Amino acid sequence: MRYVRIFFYYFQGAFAERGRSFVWFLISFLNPLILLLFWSGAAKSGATFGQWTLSDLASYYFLLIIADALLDAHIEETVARIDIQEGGLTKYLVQPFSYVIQKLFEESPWRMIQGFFGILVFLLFRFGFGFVISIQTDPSLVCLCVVMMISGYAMSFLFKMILGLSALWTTDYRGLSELVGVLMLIFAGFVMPLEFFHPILKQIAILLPFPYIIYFPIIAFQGKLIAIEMIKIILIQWVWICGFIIIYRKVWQRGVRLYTGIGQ
Amino acid sequence: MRIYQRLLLMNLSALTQYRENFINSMASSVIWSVFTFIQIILLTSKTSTLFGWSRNELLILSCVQAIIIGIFHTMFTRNFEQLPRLIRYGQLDTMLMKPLDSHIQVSIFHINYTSLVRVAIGAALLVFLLYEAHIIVTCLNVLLFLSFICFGVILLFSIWSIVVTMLFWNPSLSNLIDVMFTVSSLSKYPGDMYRQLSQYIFFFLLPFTFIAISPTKVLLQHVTLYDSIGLLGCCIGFLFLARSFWKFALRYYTSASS
Repeated sequence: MRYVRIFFYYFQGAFAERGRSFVWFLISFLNPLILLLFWSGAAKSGATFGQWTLSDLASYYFLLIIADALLDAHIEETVARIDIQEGGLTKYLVQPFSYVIQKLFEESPWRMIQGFFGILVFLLFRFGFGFVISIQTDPSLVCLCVVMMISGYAMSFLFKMILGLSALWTTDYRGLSELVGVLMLIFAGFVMPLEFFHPILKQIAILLPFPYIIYFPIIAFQGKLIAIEMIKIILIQWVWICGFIIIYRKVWQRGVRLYTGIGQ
Repeated sequence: MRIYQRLLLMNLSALTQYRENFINSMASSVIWSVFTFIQIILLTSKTSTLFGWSRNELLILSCVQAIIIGIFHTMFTRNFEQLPRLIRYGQLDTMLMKPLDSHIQVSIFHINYTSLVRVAIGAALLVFLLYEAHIIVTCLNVLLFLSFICFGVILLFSIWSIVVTMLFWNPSLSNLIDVMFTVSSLSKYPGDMYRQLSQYIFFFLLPFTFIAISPTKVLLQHVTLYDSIGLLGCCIGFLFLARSFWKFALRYYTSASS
């Protein structure tokens, strides 16, 4: 019950700042839209996309808007800058609650609100402007898609927590954060579907955690994966999650000893 | 000019003082420049032309955009990032008291030298691509290109300034600046791409299509009167608009904790 109250406390905070949430959402919205215009132009110039049609691409980018808003956690900034650099971690250390759970409750409302904007835009384009957006309709497969999404969010959250905690060693984590950001943009499918990558690049992407956060949940929702493939991907996601939990615990145990309590 | 020279020196000493910050900023500048080119390479792997622009020309366009964005980030971005804080905590008072135009002060005070890396990478790649494509560039082209780059930077500054000035009414929306990073990237694609949108949206995006395209067309030697007048007109118009809007917005500044 205490955790429910903590969650609602953070939800209130995020809801009060819904204007900021909307502005953040605009970033998730604009990038895919620009890329969709690019592909639409490319199609007019005679480009073909293998087994993908322009309608598939439109579905992909519209789902990307939702996935980016809903699944891509941005907790690393708060952890590194406010908690570690400015000393905000102290208050969490003296509270009888887990730091990672508090951070999860702090981040999730922002994802929910931005994801809600994403769903609104999706519905607007689907029903308002009549865009043909193909999505999975089989109820059992939709359930698997939801599991995949939740696992994707768990991966993203844990990964960004580890990234944020790296500031305990580096203080200024921006260089690493920018590098991870760019890798994520390329390999999570923000630029284009991994299907369009060169086979070697695609193989590299599959070995990294990024596509399991954004790309696979999207194509699962598009109906491009069969049940067995989805189960396989969920299993891989859980391997990553276990790996991240182990790394997080090690990083936290060793890193917190370096924390000076008055900002780094 | 004397004040700007002083500012250049002040920022240079700050740069040498915080070396770790310098290395980190440098790393992020390199990473983002590389990403700009990787993105275009990836996108053009499926199509050889886009609205009459070949792959090579699109890469040249992204180099020019990298140069303009690099100059812009060096000179202005940090200042715009500071503005919400100045408004929110009433720190703009100090600037209003000084015998120098407040708009100029808030725009030029911080200089981010590390973004010059983007200019350098963009310029080096641009020279390489022009050489590969056997495009002969005359001195006149270079002069025209450099002046168009200046107009592009001024236009970008004016657009950012107009958007950031809106924060006088709601300084808590400081993340509008992050949106502007995305919006600025509109200039790295051919203008015709946006014609697919409705006329109203295209009209709204039109200024962005001049920022990098006009200087690029100078290098590719197919610049038209429309590109030149469009860039110059938007540059003057938006600069005037930015100045007027700033003066208007200052009336709503209520000092500390506004």
